[in-house]
Amino acid sequence: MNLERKVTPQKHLTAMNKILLTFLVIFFPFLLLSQKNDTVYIAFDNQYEEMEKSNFTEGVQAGSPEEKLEKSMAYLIRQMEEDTYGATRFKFFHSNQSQKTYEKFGGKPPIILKKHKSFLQDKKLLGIEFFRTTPYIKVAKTFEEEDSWEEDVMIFMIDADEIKNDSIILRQVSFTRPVKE
Amino acid sequence: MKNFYLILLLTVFIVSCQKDEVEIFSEEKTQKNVLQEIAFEDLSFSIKKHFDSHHLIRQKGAKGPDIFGGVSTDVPAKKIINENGTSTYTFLLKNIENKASSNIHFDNLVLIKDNEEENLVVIRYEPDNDWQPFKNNFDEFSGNVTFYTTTGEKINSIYMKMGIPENKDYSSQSKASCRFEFTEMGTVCTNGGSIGGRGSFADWSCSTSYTMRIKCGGAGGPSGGGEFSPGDSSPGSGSPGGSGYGDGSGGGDGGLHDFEFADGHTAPNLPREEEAPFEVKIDSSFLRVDKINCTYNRLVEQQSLQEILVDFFGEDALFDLKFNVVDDLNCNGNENASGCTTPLRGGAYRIDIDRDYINDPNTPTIFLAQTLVHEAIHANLYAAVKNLNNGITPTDTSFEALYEDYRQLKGWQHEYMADHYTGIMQAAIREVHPLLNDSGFLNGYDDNTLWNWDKFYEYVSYRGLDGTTAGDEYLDNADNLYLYESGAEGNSTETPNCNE
Repeated sequence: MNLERKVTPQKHLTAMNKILLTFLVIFFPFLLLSQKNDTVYIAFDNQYEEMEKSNFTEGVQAGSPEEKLEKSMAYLIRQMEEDTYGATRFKFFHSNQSQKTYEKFGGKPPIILKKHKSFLQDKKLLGIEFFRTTPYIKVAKTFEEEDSWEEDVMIFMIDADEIKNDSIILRQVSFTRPVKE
Repeated sequence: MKNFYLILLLTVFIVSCQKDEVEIFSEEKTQKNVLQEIAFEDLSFSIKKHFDSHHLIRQKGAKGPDIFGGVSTDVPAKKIINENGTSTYTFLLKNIENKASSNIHFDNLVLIKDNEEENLVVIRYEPDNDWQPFKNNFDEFSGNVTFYTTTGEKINSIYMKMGIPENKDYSSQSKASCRFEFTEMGTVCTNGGSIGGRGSFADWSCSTSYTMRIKCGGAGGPSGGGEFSPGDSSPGSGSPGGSGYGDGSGGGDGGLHDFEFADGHTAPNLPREEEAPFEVKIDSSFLRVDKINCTYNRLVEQQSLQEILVDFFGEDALFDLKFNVVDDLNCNGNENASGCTTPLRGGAYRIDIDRDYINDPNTPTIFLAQTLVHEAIHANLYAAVKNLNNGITPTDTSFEALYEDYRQLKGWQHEYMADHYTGIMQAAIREVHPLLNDSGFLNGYDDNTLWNWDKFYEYVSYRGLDGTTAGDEYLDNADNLYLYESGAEGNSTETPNCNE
C-alpha cells in the first residue's frame, strides 16, 4: 500500500493555497502596475535647468516623530512654452505619509521599486527632450484621461541621483498641472 | 328660557356666518379668468415637481446643455383658471447666455394643467428697442415672441407691433406643421373682474391676454386642432407679456393629429425693474456643479469676498458679473486655464472656471476657493480701471495712484495682485476654510511642529502668481511649500456640503 500517494482533501487545499500565494507574490507588482491604463517612466536629472527637485521629508516627518517615514519628494519640470502666463512647471509629488495619516484620510503610500537597470531596457522613458519639445497640453494629456484632468496612468520617476551601480529606484509620483488662472 | 333663545340666536348667526364664508370660498374657487399671483414656495408639489433642486426645468431623458435658465423664485407665478377649467401658470425664467438669442430677451415658462394632463411651453420675448420693459405696458409690446419646447425646439414665432401680431413665422417650424392663429384679446384681473381696455382700479392688477389657436398636423397630413392662448399685460402693475401653450407635435405618420385643447390665458411674467440693474449672476452650468457652487456660496457668505466684489453687489452695483463653468477653458488664447475673468461689453464681466479642473479629484476644495477669490480680484481690478476711465473714483481710493505704476507692465493685474492683494486673499481663504467640510484637514496637522496655518494660507494666496516679481520672490524663499501643497492635495478632498 502506497501511503505517500494518499492526499487528503485538506492537504490538497493547502497545496492549492500555496500555489495561489506564490502566484500572488510573483505577480503582485504586475497586478499593481496593471491597475491603470498604462505606465509611464520619467528619467529625471536635476542637472538640466528645466528639472528641479525638492525634498520635503522633514516637514512630513515632523507630524509623525514615532514612525520613520520614507522620503517625500517634489519633482518639477518646466514646460516648453516660455511666453505664457501663470505657473510654468509640471509637478510630480512622491509623498510618503505616516500610517496614521493614511488611516485617517485614506489612500496608500506610493510604490517604491528597486530594480536592476535592465528593467528599463524595453520601457519607453520620457526624458528631458520630451519635455523640451512637447507642448504643454500634450504633456498634460500624456498623464490624464482623454476628456478630463484626472490622472489615468501610473507614473514612475527614476532619479539619476538614485542610480547606483546596476540598480535603479522607481518612485511612483502623482501629476499636477501648472496653475493658470 | 331667555338664555336659551339667546344662545339659539347666536348659534344661527354663527352658522349663517360660516355658511357665507363657505359660499364665498366656493365662489372664489370657481371664478374664471382670474389672475392670481402665487409665491413660488407656496405652490403645490404637483407644480414644483417640474423643477429640480436648482429650480431648472426638469427634463425627461438625456440631459444636454441648458437652453433655459431656472425659475426666478422671487417673482410670483401668475396663475389663471381658464373658462374651460384648465389652469395656466406662468413663471419668469432667469436668463442664461444663449447663442440662440443674444438680444435682450425674457423667457417665460407656461404650464397648462387640467385634471388629466400637463403641458409646458417656453415663450421668449425679444422686445424692439422702442419698447422698454419698465416703461411700457405689454399691450403695447413690440418685438418677437417665440415659442419653444422645454428642450429648446422652436415651435413658432410671431412679430408683434404695439400689441398686435403682424406676421407669423412658419418658415422654421421644426415641430412638423404646427402654426398659430391669433384669435382674441382680453383682460384678466386679480379680483376676478374684467375691465375693458387699459387702466386698473386701486388694488387691481390686470393683464391683457391674447388667445391663440394652435393647429398641428403630421407631415403631409391635414391640420388637427389645438387651442393656444398666450399673452397679456397689466396696465396697472406693469405686468406684460402673453403666453399660451402649444405642444402639438405632429407625428411622423403623415396623418391628422387631434391636438388636445389647451384653451386659456396666461399672464406674461417679465423681470421686475429692480432686478435688471447690475448684479452677480450664477449660470446654470455653475449651479449644477455642487463642488464649485457650494464653495462659491460659502465664500459669498463671508465679509472678505463681499468686500472684494463690492462694485458688483447691492443696489449701488456698477457692473454685472456672471459665474460660469465651461469646458476646455481658453483664457485669452491660453488653453486649458483653470480660471479666467473676461470683460464684456456694457459694464459686464464673466468669470469662467474650467469643468475638468473642478471635477479632478486631485483639485482640493481649498484651491477652488482660492481660484474663485483670485478671479473675483481680477473682476475687481477691471472694475476699478473702468471706473477710473469713466471719471468715477474707485472704491479703493488708493487705486488710482498705484495703477499708474502697474498699467504698463505685462500681466499688470497679477503683478498688482501679488503686491497688494495677497493679504486680502489670505483673509478670504482663512475665513471660508472652516465652512468647506474640511475639518479632517484642518485638524490633521495638530501634531506637526512644522505646519503653520498662517504660512499655509500665505502659500495659497500666491497660487497662480508665478512669474510676477513678488510671486517669484515668495516662491523662491518660502519654507515647506511642497509640504503645504501636497498636504492640501492629499487631504483637502471633501466636497463642501451646503445642505447642512
